Amino acid sequence: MELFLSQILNGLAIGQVYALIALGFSLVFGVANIINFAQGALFMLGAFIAYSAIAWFGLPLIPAAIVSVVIVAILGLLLERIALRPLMGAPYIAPFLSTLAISTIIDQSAEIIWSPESQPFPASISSTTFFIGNAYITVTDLVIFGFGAAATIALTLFVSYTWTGRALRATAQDPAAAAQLGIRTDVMRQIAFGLAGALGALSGILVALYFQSVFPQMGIPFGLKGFAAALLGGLARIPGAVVGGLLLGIGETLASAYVGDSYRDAIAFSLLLLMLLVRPNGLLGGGKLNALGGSGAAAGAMPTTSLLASASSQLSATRAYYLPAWGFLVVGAAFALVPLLVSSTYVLQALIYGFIFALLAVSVSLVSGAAGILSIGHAAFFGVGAYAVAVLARPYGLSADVTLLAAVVLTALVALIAAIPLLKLSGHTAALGTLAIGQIGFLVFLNWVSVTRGPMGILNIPHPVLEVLGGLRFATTGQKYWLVLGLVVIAVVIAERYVSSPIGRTWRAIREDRLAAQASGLPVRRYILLAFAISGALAGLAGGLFAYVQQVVSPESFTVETSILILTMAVLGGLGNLSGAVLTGFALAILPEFLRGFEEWRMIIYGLLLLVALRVRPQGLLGAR
Amino acid sequence: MTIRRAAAGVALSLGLALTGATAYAADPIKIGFFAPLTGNVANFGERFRESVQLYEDQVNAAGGIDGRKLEVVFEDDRNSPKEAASIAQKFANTPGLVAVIGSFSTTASLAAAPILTEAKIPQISPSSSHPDWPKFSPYTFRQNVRQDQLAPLHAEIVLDKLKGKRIAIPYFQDDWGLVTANTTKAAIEKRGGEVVLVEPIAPNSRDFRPLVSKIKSLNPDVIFLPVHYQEASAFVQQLRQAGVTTPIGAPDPLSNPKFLELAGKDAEGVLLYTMFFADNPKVKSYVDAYKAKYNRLPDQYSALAYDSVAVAVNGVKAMLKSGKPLTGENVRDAIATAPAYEGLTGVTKYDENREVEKKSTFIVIKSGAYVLY
Repeated sequence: MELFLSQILNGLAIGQVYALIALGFSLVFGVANIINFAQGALFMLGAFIAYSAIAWFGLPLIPAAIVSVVIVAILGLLLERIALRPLMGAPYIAPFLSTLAISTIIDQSAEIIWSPESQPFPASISSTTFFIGNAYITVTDLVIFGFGAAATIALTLFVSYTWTGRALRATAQDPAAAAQLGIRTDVMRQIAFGLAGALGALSGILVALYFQSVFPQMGIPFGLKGFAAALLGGLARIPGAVVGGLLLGIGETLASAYVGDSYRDAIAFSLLLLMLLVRPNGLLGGGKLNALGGSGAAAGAMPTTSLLASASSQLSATRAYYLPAWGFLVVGAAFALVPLLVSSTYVLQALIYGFIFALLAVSVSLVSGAAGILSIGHAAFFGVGAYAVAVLARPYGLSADVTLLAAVVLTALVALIAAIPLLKLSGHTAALGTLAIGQIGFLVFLNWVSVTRGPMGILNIPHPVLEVLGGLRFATTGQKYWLVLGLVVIAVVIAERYVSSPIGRTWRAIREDRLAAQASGLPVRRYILLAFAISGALAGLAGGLFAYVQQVVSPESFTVETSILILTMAVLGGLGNLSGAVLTGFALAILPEFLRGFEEWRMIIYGLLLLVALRVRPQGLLGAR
Repeated sequence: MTIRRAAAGVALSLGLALTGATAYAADPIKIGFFAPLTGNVANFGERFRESVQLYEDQVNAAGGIDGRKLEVVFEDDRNSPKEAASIAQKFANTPGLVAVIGSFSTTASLAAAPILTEAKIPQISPSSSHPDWPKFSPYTFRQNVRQDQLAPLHAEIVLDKLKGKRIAIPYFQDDWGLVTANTTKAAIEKRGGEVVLVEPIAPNSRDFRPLVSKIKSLNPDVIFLPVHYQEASAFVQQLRQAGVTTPIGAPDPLSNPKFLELAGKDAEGVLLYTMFFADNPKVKSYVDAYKAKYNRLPDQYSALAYDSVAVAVNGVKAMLKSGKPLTGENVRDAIATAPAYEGLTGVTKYDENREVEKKSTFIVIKSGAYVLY
């Protein structure tokens, strides 16, 4: 019992950290309707700027914190101005990707400026600890709690009682109406981003004080938790962020205490998924998400249901370029000649990865582009396919026909089952659901040691042998090139046939207006399940091929970063445009190889190129279909 | 720092252009290097890179290898198997490249291994600790010692030196941590000790209070900590903050000046061992050169990388002396059969399984510094 109480205290301590990060997400989401993925990066910057102010310029803690908060708030304003303002009126997903690109740039810059090492934070509040039996609480915990509470109350008062706060809320509710009443909505958006930056910096500094260290990779793990906490509590609700953070903290602490630390995140995300099923709007969530077309599936009374809806005006305003199904056969045939002309296995290997990621992008494009459910979890499906092949090909020595077929069928099944809890969700909550699924998948790969061998990975996967072709063995890079190219082309042609068929038209109808689709008598859920099953099959094939090419499978290949990368590929190509997905999937997979010469600047250039692409073609490179 | 490095690179190439590249007798000897230089574990890869760069500069300043320039090709794998495989292909397609150093994690090393083996290029990993790594092919070598050989040493630390009977083992969740925890547990139990907790710590996590409370309630005599220094420093801080004074034993990765810096006074009394002790007079010239160039002390990872490239270059030298053609295959044979080489981390003499045996020194943290135990 005493242990239980002390674990609850531990949960509250980490929970208030999550709550602070969640506040920044909620604020931006409430006003600008944008999930700001750069929030984690701003949080990290806040901690590092305070670190530099103390360690390099000798400032005391409080002035250093003020300097950091001011600088990051200005960066928040700049972020809005440079990366988001130009995308006003673009499809909803463009600003989302834009914040992702910014976060890549900031994270990598921090590694260059401050080196990839952890740094001890040069200031502390007090090392006093109060003991209550075996449970304990530190002065630092209390200070963070005080700051968190003060920030929440101040923010609530500001939003409720000041003119600027009211204008902010008005902008959040209906930007068009607010603008007509004379509110400068662009200024309001900037204020929201500035405030979010300030909050991010503040939480970064408090986290640095809490853990007594700062490291450039801290943005992603803490950002993810903050995002989850914000959604758990109900996005766009200030008290919701606090309640969500505390609950997440307690939940995962209890998981860690009674199940095991390795299951901590798996259980946290499973709880999140369950929560979404019961209360899709979050614990304190109101109608805010409904107004956005949030929850309630086709039964809800809302105009549109997907944040991926391309808005009909976009569709008519820009042309979509795409290949017919037979076009992929022609392109594939042309690529088949490459090994005859190029002998460098380096080039062939890069192209193989290009094909595999093109297939993955197509897989995501079916779910996210065509059917309109933002998927941040496809790396899990990719991984299921890879592990299926690895497990069957290595100990059981089965031929590639059997293993690849098994990978396709198994992954389709897994995707189908994973889609069931998502059926009731749409918009942001569906995106969070897929994020949870992706994280759970990764953690299963990492922890299910008896099957996946956990962090050891599965090694020495044999070369593929196709019994169908009379026991043909694909041993060299050139031979694998043809195998991968052949199967990818077949899979893409099948996918394209689906998208061009009446089924594809139905998917797009669901994407644009789920309610109208339902009202027209379409069995919406069945179509979404179908999209997931086909998408899973394609991802499974990609995973299986990846395992054969790589000859080693380990969890590192299937992280949330991979999921985000594939989603970026699918969306950047143009919603529901498989030709676009193939093009961007292929291009973004081989682009890092071209950028090798830039050394550690590589990912920064990559992020900048993404930003430029979004600026030039916010509707996707080849246009939405 | 990076900008300075880039500037130095430009200055160097300008200098070369002015003095003319004719200073060297023949084509340069190329060695490939890959490690995570960006991303989550870039701090380790950066240590590797610094040492290998230092070695390259030293060799070339001393006139190169038999008058031929040593050229190391540096690549960044971000700890991603996919990137490692692409880099391996790039190396395999680089004419005249006869050996490869890399990578940090076993999974990245292993993604490159099939390709390098097929291209008949020997690969020395400074730190891959997977038990199956050297078994992969005749071309895979390493510089660190097999984990199951270290397990009796771990048992000695916790049972004999720290006099524990009930041991808790929180371990880092990668291939190294998992193998270390399991082999250590077996070694402790074989000698009659009791292991009360074996639990993984997720990479990049910083909140260990649930685990600390659990350990506190189990009340072990000794905690054994196979965890990398970033997570380990947060762990010991939270452990001491909770009022747990249990002594801590640890394997070699905590012999890192950064651990002292991050954990501060909470690192006091941690007992561990290392293959590389910076105060050892035998390694003084290396430590001084490293400090002069990078303005910080080297750690065991930098030393392992330095030994890796030294062993590879020794293989090349033996090859050139014997007069056989300089190919990856011949260099592999030379490395595998080379006489014992005394490096920074001990003696390298590969056995038939391409494993090394190295002696470790016990050290303890006292007044914020590592001292001999």
